[in-house]
Amino acid sequence: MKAMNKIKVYRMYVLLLLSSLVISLASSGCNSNTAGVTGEKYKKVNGIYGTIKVSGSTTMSNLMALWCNDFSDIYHDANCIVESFGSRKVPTDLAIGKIDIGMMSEPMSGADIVDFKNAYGYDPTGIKVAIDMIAVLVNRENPIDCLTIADLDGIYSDTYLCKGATGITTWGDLNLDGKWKNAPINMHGRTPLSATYDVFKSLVLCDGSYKDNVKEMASSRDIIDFVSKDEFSIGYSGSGYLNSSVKAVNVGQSKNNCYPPDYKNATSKQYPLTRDLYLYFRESSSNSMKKITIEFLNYILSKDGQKAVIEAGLVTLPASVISQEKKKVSN
Amino acid sequence: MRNIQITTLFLLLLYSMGPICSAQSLPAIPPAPSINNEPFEVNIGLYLMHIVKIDQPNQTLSGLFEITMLWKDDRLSFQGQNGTPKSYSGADADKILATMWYPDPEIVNQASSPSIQKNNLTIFPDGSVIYRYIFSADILTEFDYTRFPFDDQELRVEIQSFTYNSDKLVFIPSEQYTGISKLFRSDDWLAYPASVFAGIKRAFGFETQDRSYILYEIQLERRSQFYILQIILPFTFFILMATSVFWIYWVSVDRRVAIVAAFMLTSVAFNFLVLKYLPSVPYKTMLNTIITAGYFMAGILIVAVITFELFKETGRERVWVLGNRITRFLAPIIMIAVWLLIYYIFINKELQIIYLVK
Repeated sequence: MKAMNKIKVYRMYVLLLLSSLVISLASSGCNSNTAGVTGEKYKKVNGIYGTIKVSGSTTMSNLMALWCNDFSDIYHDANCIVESFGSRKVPTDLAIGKIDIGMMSEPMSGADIVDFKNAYGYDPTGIKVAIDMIAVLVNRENPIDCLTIADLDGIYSDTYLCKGATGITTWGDLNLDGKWKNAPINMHGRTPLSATYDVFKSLVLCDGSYKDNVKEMASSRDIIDFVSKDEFSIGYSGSGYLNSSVKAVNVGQSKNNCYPPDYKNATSKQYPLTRDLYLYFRESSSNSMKKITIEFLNYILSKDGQKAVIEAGLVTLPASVISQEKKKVSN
Repeated sequence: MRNIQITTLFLLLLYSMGPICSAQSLPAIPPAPSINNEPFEVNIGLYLMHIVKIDQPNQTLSGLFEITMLWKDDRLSFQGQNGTPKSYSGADADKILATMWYPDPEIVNQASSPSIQKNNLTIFPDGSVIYRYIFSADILTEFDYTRFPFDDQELRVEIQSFTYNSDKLVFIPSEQYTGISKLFRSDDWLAYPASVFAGIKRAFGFETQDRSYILYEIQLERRSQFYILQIILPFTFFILMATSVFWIYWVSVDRRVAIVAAFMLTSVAFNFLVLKYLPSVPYKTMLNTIITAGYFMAGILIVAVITFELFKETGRERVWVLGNRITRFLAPIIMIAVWLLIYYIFINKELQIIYLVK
């Protein structure tokens, strides 16, 4: 009888163990996507319908599509019209009232702010919504581990304003041996329409000019595709597009301070090629803003909206920044 | 002999001129309009008019759509009376289109060539053009039936120009001509306003050519009432009825097992009957899982009936009575709880366990 009772107790333990294992597996599955996500869960409100018109950065197009789809899931009668032809069109589109929200992968320039102010009489409001890192990509076979800003300036620029060495044309010029010694560096970059082109130019080329033989690609995906197929090529793209077909090189101001493009280095800004992503809207305060636009921005700055940031392969904002940006929306 | 040679030469000459003549007979299509070397903008909208059928195994949706394109080509301007536009329909519109510049849009994710049902071309005196056509097409879909019959789907229609690169032509979404037609009717689906995404991407199969694209995403929500009333409720009724054997515990065990088995077999037969309404996909849907769990729980009922009977046989009648009395309430509660848990797991997007189920 005692033996039977023991067996029963053991069975109970096994059952408890199994059920706790299942629960912990399920809950770890729930949390795997939410690492690094801060903010409150979005609360649905009544009476939200209509169209949100957005235009701007190609870098943010994936992210905006995720936001729009999630928002339409919450509010079936809400939809988006999104044009992703680059950040350049945003100031004009906002100034002529064509769009509600502009996606920009760099802060609006002084001249654009002046144009906007001339049109509306007040400054445009921009909020940070995510952090993007520009990753420098090489083929997976490439043994190089670290590139300094000066190295990249030497590779991509013909003006060398960021202290780049002249005549970096082969991988041997970056101290690689063997088959790499005389192999040419095949450079890929974005088209001038893209904000990534401008940001790379600003951060890496110190606003110098690109070499003529940099192959210009319309999208980050194209760059990754080319670099994954050509072992001697190099490219750059938003870190959100990174996948295992290419290798992201550590980047730093010097060889001793080279950092990988990851969350910690992005939020601390130790990785030098990080940038904040912005949404600009034309209204000066939430009183004059459409209800749907306010709710869309609230959703973006909520925990749910920031989950989409991770899903898009970008870096979420720290909690302190989110609360600052929320104040701008509810102003 | 010489005459034959000359005749042969003459015939060869005529033959070789054939293609030249036929090529010359093709109307010359003017190049794409361009202003200050900027890509030419064409406004484009898409309306969903009707869903004819959804082919689940082949992942296609057959539907009726309307595309409207608006552009301005100064070369088409004319002196009109009181601004009256010229309007053409059917074959007349096709003839005019063959002689003028045309954006040549193509649905990237089409499963077969669209069939144009009706078209209309209007040219205004200032060169503005509105071309609209209603067409039926099979669209490739990536529907996910995991949450069937409580699933929402996204119908995606992507349009690119077949001929012009993004430096020549960009598509701009037209809000006015995009959406769900007021005539849209579907017994199975509710359709919600479409979101539109426009941009530039590399043309499929071309390494150096970028094309302007426009992507329409129409949200479809399945009307699940039919499945609740016709499938889920009868099935749960059959399985819950099997728990009634715990109310008649004094009846012989073989009869009680037969009752559970009868309800189980009825639900199996019912399942076969409604199979045609279920999507035939290679993974488990929510409804499949609910049905499988129902069978599993009915099996457990048989085991429980026999186990309690064994207690009686070994002289522990008190356990036998208590077991039956408790289980008559506990069994349906556990069953409903399991079904609700399945529903919760499937409906909750955040639960990654859904992919394990898949």
